[in-house]
Amino acid sequence: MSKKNIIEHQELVNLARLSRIAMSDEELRQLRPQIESVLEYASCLAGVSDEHKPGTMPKNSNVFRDDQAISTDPAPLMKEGPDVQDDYFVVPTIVKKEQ
Amino acid sequence: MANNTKSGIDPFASIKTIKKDFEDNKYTPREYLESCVERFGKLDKNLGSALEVFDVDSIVSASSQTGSLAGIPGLVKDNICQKGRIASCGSKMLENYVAPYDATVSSRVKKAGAFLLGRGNCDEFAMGSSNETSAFQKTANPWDLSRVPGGSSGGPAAAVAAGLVPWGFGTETGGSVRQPAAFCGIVGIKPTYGLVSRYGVVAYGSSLDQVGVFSRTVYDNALVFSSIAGHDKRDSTSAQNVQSIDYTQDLSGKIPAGLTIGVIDNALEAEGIDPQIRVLLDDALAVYEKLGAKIKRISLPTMDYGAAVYFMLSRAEAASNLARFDGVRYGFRAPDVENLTELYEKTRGLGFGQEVKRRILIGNYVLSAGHADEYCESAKKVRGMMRQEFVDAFKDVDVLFAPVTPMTAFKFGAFDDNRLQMDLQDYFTAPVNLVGVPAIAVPCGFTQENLPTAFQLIGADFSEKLLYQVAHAYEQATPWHTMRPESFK
Repeated sequence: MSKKNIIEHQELVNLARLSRIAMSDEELRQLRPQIESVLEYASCLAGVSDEHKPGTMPKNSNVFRDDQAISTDPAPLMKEGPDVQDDYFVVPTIVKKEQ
Repeated sequence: MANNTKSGIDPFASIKTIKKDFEDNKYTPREYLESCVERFGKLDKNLGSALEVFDVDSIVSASSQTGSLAGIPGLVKDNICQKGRIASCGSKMLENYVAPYDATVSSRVKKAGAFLLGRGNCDEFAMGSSNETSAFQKTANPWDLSRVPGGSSGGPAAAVAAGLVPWGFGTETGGSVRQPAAFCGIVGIKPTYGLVSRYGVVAYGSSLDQVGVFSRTVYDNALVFSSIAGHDKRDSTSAQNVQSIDYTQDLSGKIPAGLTIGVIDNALEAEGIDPQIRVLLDDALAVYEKLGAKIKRISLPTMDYGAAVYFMLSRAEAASNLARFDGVRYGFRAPDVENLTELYEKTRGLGFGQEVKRRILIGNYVLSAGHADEYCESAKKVRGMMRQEFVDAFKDVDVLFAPVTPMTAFKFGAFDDNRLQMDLQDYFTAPVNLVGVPAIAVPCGFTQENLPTAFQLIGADFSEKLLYQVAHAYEQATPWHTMRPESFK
């Protein structure tokens, strides 16, 4: 494995935080070689563009439609909420109150 | 043979035959459905293909019961919404999530009269090649219960191969219909990107995802496909100006005169292909030559980078798509949290399995500043080259021919210590998803261990009708679609 594909443990900790996934050090240690091997495998891509003739994917075009309000019963959607009060989803503290 | 139900129903009968039997009043749609449900009850304990089989009354009442699929039951992969049913995606995160609406593919087959019989097991959020990442159960391969059925749509594939149900829906991001079809010895199609609506299908890699169909015969596949293909205004990536057509129309058993099949040499000669599979692929080509096809050897060099490109782009798209599972509006929520950030982190830490976490982490890594150019941008460039290479190839040949998988179904746990090898199951299939063209996996025989394999025919954009025709001609010239796994006869 080339050196540049080695991920420091702290980098993985940051990555898990960025991904908003709580993961133990043990879990991250287990995943590390698996992630490194995929990145190592994909590192071949950087050099490819010079070897072959360039191409493009089909052009995407935006799909527009008129903005129309559709009356929908919110009840079935609200029923999916893990914690609901009236027509609101309940979440824990977002901003801490200053003491 | 196999008339093991009291009403004389053959569980391996094709949809074509079942429809005829309905017409001849041999048995009623309800009796057939009941026999399928009964077979699940008896045989699925060992197979594990379904996460849930619904009660007969609720299945019947959800269907229009008239149309091209009237009374024909199917099993739906659990990442496709069926109104009023759970759609768990094989994940703890959505274990109790009840879909408030139908996916377009679900509503279209119900409108065509089909019975949606249950929920098929799959790898968690369609991430895996063996069904082993499902949070709920293992699914076995009907041909050898110690082996995997492939993935991620392994549940529906195994059920169809075992004669529990005549058709199933899977989804593909990098090969998740064709690979389990090959492992289970059935037909599986990955349509042109945009031909089948993704509305109501839980997203993994949005530029790649498509719904596909499993069946035991090519005709049956084309029949189910005819009911779902076409424009859907609810999916803004749905192809415009696509007419609904009958894909069964040209299934004469003949190939079009002057058909040229392009054999992708660098795929066929790739390192690591099981020599037995190689022989079966060569045999298949010989059958096509006999049928009158011209065989042309070609090379698509960028295809060799397909898996690498796929790893980067699918993980990046997954990291973005799966950000929505945050424990706020639906799905699992972690208990005992003090603030919102902790709610997100613990919910996702406990709700996702390891494979999903691994892919999200890789996705966010390759998207982050400092790495995006090296991985994502170069992957996008190579994807464009690959597209060009395929488009150019179709100027010279009508369809392309390649293996689906380098090996037959493997034992459970075979790749626990080498995830990269597991990921490389997508080596021959992922390029097709990246390029956006359609492909169909067609069973082409058995190895000495009595394990099935398949080749894939790849076509130009919207060439599904031709693919079905060419696949059907091969099927009619060979006996593979009549084989039945011993434990399920």
